[in-house]
Amino acid sequence: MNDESDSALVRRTCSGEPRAFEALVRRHEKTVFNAALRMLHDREEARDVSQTVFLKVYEHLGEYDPSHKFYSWIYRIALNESIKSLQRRKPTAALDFETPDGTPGPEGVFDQRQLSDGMAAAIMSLRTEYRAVIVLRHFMDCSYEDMAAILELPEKTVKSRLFSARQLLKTAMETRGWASE
Amino acid sequence: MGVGMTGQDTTLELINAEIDGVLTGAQRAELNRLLLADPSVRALRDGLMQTCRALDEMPRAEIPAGLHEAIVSGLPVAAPKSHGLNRAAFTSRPLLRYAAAFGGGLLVSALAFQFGKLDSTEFGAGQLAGTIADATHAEARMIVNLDQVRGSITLTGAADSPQVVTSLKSSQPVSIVTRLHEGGWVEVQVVDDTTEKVLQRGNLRIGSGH
Repeated sequence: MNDESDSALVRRTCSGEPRAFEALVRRHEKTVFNAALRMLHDREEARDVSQTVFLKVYEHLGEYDPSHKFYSWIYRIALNESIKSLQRRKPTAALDFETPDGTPGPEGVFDQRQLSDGMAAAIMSLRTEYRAVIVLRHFMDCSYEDMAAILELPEKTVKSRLFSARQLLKTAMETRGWASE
Repeated sequence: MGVGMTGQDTTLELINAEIDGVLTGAQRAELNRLLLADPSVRALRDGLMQTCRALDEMPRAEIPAGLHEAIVSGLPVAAPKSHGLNRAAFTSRPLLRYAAAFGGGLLVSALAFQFGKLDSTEFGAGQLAGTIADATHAEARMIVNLDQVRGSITLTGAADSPQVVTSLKSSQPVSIVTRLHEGGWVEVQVVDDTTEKVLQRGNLRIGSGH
């Protein structure tokens, strides 16, 4: 059932009901994929990472501590797998990333597509630890507390990192011609 | 000009708290005061809000076609196993129940809680050891009747892939630890999470004599 909690689905999976895990996949796959996509900016890599994440979750489901939020656990795995995927890239790969069309349209304004592409490029220009907090907060809707749990950092550190990341993004967007008013 | 250095952290914290919707009334008043007093604070706040709005408005990608099926079909056939002494604490919830499937090794199953009121005065004295193993049916049960926890732990299912089902009331955090031994014997321990003391131990087996 849709209302069944993650913990209940985990329990049913461990009891030998594979359908229960499929429900968990369906519930979290879009968020996991989007997180990987924003971390990697590559759909194929994000797809591979998503598959790896759910396989790891399944294999280690017996180690899941039900006193913690299931999504925190799965999001942590998703971030870690994305970072591993980044580390496997050739060192120059990140530098090859090109900013999409950074010039405004005829009316002097950016359309939503340009803005979205520009923002994706700006996110990719961030260092991994800053990108991770942006992804957690803005694409996974995590609270400060959730982020601290996922990153295993003090909440104060997470907030400081998030605030810095937002400022860096703002600057990156401005340098790409997207000036804030 | 610009945001005063000494107040920069505070200013940033207030602006970000506003963006994240966690601004308190007092913080709101302070932010308004700063916005009125300093144009650079207004510019910073507007720029950050615009940035975050753009982030939040970025479209969420649909998952690629076939990804769901690829994930599900790529999973191992066997149910996930627990590893090591991975106890799932009962916390202090009085009435609880759990079920698990396992294929070997040491495990503790996930737990599902049902909430109820526990009257510990109705419990008898604690039993530090005891086993009731009923092997005449495809089920074996251990009765737990301790000060801290009361109910039953049942081994059920096929002998080569047994499941542990518990129906227990607990007045304090305890763990149920199970270990599969040669010959299909399952050792079950009820452990006090606070003291790590084994409160009760039993052996269960399905299908043949014990």
